[in-house]
Amino acid sequence: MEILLQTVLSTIEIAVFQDKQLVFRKQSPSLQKSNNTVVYDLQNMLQNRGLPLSRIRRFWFVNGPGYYTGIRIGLSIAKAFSDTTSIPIRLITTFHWLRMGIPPSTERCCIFIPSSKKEGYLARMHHFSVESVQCIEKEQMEKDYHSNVLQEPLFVPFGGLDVSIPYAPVGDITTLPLDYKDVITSQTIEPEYIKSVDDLFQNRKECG
Amino acid sequence: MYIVGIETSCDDTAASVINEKKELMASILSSQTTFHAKYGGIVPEIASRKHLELISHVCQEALQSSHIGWNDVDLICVTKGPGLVGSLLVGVEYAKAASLALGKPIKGIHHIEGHLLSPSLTHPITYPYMGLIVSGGHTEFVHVPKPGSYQVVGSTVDDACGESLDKFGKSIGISYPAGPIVEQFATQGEEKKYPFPLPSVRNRPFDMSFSGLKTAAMHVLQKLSPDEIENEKGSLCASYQRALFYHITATAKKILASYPSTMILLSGGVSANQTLFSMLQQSIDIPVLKPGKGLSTDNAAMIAWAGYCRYIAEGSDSLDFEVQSSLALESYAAE
Repeated sequence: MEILLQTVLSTIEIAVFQDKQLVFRKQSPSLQKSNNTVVYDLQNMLQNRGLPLSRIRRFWFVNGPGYYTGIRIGLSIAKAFSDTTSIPIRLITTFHWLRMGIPPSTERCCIFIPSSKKEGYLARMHHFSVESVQCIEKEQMEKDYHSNVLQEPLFVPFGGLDVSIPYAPVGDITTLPLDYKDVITSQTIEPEYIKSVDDLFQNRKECG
Repeated sequence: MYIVGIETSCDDTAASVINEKKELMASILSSQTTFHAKYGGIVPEIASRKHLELISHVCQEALQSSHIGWNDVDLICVTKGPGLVGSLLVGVEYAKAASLALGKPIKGIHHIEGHLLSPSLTHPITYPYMGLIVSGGHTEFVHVPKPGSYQVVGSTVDDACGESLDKFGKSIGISYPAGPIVEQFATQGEEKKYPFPLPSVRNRPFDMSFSGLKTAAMHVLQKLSPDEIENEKGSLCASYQRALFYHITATAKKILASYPSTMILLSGGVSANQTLFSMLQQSIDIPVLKPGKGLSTDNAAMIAWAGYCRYIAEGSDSLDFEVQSSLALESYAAE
C-alpha cells in the first residue's frame, strides 16, 4: 500500500495505491481550512479503511510547483514522516504527477500549473521527461489558448504558445509508475529538496 | 514523561524537550535574525521558508541533546497562534504529522500562554498573578486568577515596546534587533537628559501607547547633527528607554490597584532588559518574577510546559485544529 499527498494545487488530494493501482482518492478544495486539515483527513482515511501505518510501504508527496502555502504544508508533513518513521518518502513534481493522468502513449505534451493569481508554470514534456519549464503569465496563456479558465492545471498537446490549439483538463490518474526514473528518490529529505523549491520561488521572482 | 515543544510563530525556529517535573532537557533555537536584519524587520515569506528548512534539524538536535528518540516522546506541543500564518503552518503541520506517525497526543498552544507560564518553569507561582508580556510583538497585562484562565486587562494601542525600541534604534543607526544594544548604550548615558513626554491613552488608563514617544524622539533627533547623535547615543538611549519603561511601570501600578495580584510574572524578549526589571521591582510592592536564562524570548520550552499543563487538564487535541494568525487569549482559554 502506498499513499500520495498532493497539497500544491487548487484541489488537494489523498490517494492510495495498491500494486500500483489507484484504490482510493479523496479530493477537496484547497481552502486555507482544508489545507490545514490534511493530516486529519489522512488520519480519518487510514482509520476508515482499517489501515495501520505499518502497512504503508511508501509515502509520496507532490513538491511543486504550485501554490506556495500548499508546498510548505506538504513538505512539512513529508519531513515529519521522514523524521519519525522508517517509511520511505518519495517526492514527485507536480508535472510528473499530472502527466500520469495523460495517456502514456502521448509522446509530447505541455502542462500548465497555476501558482498564483497572475502566473503559473508551463512544462514541455516528452513522455515522462520534462524538457523545459517556463514561468508564464496567465494573461498570456488566456490570450494564446482563448481560455479564461486557468485556475486548474491544463494539459495541452505539444505546440508553440503562439499557436491557438485546443486544450483538455488533466485526466484521471489511475496508476503510479513506481519505477519512474525521474522521480526524486531518497528516504531522508535533505535541504537539497528545499533548495529546489527555493529555485522555483526564485524563478517566479524573475518572471514576475 | 517526555514533552516536545515546537515554536515557529515568528522568525525563530525552536524545539525543546522537558519532562513532567519541569526539568528542561534541551532548548534549541535557530534564530533567523541575520536573514531579516538587512530588511530592518521580519519578512514573513523568508521566515516561513527558513522554518521549513530548519525544522527537522532543530527538532533532531533537541532530541539528541536530551538523549532520546522520537519513539520516547509522550506528548507533542506546538504553537498554533497568534503569529505569521505561513510560519505557524510549518510548525503545526510538522507536529500534526509527527503526532499521527507516532500515535502520540498533541496540544495546540497559544503563544502568549507560553510566555505567561514561562517564569513558572523556574519559580514557584501563586494565584492570582499579573502577567506582563513585553516583546517586539506584544505589550500587555494579563490577569490570571487561576490556572488556564486569562483576562487581558491592558495592552498597547499601537507599537509594541520592543518594536518601539527597534524603530528608535534604527533612527540612530542601531541595527535590528536594537533592544539589547540600546540597553548597552543606555548604561553610558544620562537618563534625564532628554525629557520625553509620558504617554497616555485617553479614557483607557490600563492601555499604553508608544508611537507618540517615537515621534517625540524624531523631533529631538531632527535638532541634532549626525555627529551630535553619535556622541549623544548613550543619553538618547537612556532617556528613551526610561520613558518607555516608566510608561509600563506607571500603567502596572494603576492596573494592580484594580486587579489585586500576588506577583507579577514578566516575560517576552524585553523582559531580559535589566532596567525594566529593576524599575518594576522598585515601584511595585509585590514580587516580580522573570523567566530563567534563555526563556525570555520566543522559545519552545514555554510551549512544551504550557502544553503539558493543558494536556493534564484537557487531554489531547484532535488533529483538525487550525493555525490562527490572530487568536484572542480569552477565547482560546474558553475553548
